[in-house]
Amino acid sequence: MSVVIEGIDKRYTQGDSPAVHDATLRAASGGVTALLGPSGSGKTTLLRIIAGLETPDRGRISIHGTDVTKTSVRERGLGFVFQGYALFSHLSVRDNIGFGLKLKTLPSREIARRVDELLELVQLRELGQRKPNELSGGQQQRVAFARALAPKPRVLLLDEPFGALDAKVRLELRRWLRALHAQTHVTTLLVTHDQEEALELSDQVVLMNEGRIVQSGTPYQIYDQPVSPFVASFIGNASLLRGSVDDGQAELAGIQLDAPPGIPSGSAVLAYVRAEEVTLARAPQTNVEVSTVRRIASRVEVEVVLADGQRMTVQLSRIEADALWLQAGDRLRLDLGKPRIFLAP
Amino acid sequence: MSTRTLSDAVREPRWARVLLTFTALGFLGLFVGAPLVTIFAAALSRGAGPYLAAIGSADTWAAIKLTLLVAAITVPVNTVFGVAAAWLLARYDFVGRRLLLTLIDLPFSVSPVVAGLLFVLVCGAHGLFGPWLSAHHVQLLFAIPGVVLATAFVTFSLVAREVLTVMLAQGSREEEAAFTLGASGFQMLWHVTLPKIRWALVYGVLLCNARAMGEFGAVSVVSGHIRGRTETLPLHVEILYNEYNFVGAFAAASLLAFLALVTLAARRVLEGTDE
Repeated sequence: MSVVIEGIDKRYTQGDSPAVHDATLRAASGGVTALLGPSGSGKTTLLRIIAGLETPDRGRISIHGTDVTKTSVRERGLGFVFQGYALFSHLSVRDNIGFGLKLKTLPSREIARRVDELLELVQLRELGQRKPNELSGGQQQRVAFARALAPKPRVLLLDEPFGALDAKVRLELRRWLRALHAQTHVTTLLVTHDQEEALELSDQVVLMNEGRIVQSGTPYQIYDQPVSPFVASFIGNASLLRGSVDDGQAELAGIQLDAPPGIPSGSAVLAYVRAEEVTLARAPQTNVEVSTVRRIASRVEVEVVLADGQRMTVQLSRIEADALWLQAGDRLRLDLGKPRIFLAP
Repeated sequence: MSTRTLSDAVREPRWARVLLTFTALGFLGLFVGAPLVTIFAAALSRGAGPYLAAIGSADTWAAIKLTLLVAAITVPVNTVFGVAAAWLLARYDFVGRRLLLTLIDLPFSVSPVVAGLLFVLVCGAHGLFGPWLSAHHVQLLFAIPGVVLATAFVTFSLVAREVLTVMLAQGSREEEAAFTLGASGFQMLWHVTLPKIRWALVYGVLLCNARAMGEFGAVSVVSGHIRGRTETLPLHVEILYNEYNFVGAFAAASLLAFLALVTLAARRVLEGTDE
């Protein structure tokens, strides 16, 4: 196990609720671990604690089996890519990338060779002499990666690496980062609030909320087996339905389903239904009425009203929607698939 | 007359622009340009000979040397203090931060004469530390140390103010980045912080120097006006003027005015290189 943190607590001001509480996680060597959560969930604080930029109140951090809890930032040997890049504005791209190497007092020829290598890796060979403010956001981001990778860090820490970029560049850089990781295999921890980014880039997702780690697992586990209503509502595009359970059968707005084991008869339940996992069909026996149809480029979002007046969103592809000739006021048959059902608090 | 990057909506009509420009330039000419020309004209009113003689007189030379000495001590001290204080104020939240911020502004808000009087009250023969100082044979008032201290007080915030503004605007992310790349505290200061604040620092030092050489009020109170001993250039100008030695007074004043022009020119050059 490469990066292990145990029981980390951090409180910025006495009396406030903790920024991070009792965080324990293991990030596998050579893998990508995503710290995912809404803003203010403590994920950036946790990353900065791992980097040594913040001191935890309690807990232990070890990297490759060595306890580094008391080790200073500079001796931890980590690469950090900051949100908003934090490039040295007075230095050229080459000098930015070579900064960490110069501090190691390597011979200048070796520094030049390594900087060339990195410029090649981040595809900025022509731009070595530019200043950071003469580059686009995506280019600056790649310089930040090259600078962090130059001293060959044991672990790469990324804080919202694509946060400040527009949607198209984000997507490009995401692909680029996957390819980069396939080449370097450096152990990576990534902080993001974007679930798609986390689910696409990582082998392990650590989901945080209000300073606590609420679930960790592979992207599939997080997506398919949410452990709490928070996870179920945060991941994917889920609608909430309220219902009840009786004798192992859940009833949601007149629709009967198998209830998960362990929910006592007569209790109220919350069901999270993913918009992309349900189907609509024309059938003699209908159970929903279409209230609005929104066409968003290649997909169609349909809002439906269930028998007892509860509403939910269904996502269809344009082809599916066109085949149904969907219009507001249509009565259709809805199949809920396998919603995640939790005992109501 | 270029209008830079204003949109049409907020651009004044032509006559208003012309009026504003002439008002501003006219005001500047009347209150800054004309006096400046007068200084040099009066200094050279009897030709170059008397002008050079006035500058070369023993008392004027003594005043020039003292002024340079005072600047040579106060400017480096205030530069180190200014960077340290700005660093502290920009990066850390500590008990007394607001107090320090207010104290830094004090020399700006207090009249220099009052500052000088404070020194007299604290260090004078009947002041707070006066008896202790005289018991240890330390002569502060009416001596060079007093002149240096008073000047240091009046100029101590100039560097701090300039540097603090820039540091607050820049934040500390680049310093953090330097740490993660393996920099020590000193390496970070040398390779990241100082290059980032260098123009503000140089400008602050220039301002501090100009003020240190030109300070009158505080120095006037603590110096005791001992001719050839505790007289700086501004004090010397006043004495010569009061003695109706106009060429001498304006000759000394022209040195100060020249210093001001050099400071402004240096600032222009620095701002040019910054962009």
